[in-house]
Amino acid sequence: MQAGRSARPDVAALRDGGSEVVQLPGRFEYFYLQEYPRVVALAYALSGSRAGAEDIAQEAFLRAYRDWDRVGSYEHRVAWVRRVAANLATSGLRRRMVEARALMRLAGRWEPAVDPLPAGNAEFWAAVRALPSRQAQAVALHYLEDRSIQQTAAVLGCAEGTVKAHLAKARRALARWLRVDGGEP
Amino acid sequence: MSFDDRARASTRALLGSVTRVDPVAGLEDLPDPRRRWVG
Repeated sequence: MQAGRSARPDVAALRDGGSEVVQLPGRFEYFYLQEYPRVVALAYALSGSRAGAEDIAQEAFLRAYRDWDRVGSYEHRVAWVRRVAANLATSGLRRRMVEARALMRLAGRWEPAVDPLPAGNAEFWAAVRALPSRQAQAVALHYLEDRSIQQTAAVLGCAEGTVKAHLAKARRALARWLRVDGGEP
Repeated sequence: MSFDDRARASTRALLGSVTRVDPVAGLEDLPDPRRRWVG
């Protein structure tokens, strides 16, 4: 697809810088365009799969659309789509199914749009993925998404105290594994 | 390097790794949810 050659007038208007905007994107499209890269990053952090991260995000957005009227307000949808992506990314079987689809889809392409990480940073996120899944999700949301304890609890659907406990355990484990100071919050 | 320094650096790197991700292309690649789920 070439820039500015979209078949969708709403999307083309956005890409062309809006000089001839005649149509605003719909609610789902706006939500998608705003949130997609961040959800891909979350999926990459928690799955470690460059090939699968976009497909995990796509799957989460498709599910959001399916339940669009039930999911609620924009903020609720922001949390909801992240919860689905985080669960897909940390569920071994579901992640492998999505990755398999992604690899089939990418066959013949150059490479995923997600770039590989430098070794030291890749080591950090690999250590995060080695945590129990709820701890890994809490760390990814808290650091990557820069979310408060309250917001992280809303995404994970648990109590704030539970998030604090997940983060404290995760920090101690990560500091030990990565041999850095400051594992205590 | 402290834990928070390491976490922040790794977070920046991860966000940097998705800068080529194109949400417009992603939206167009998304199977039309209306077609897929309506009817």
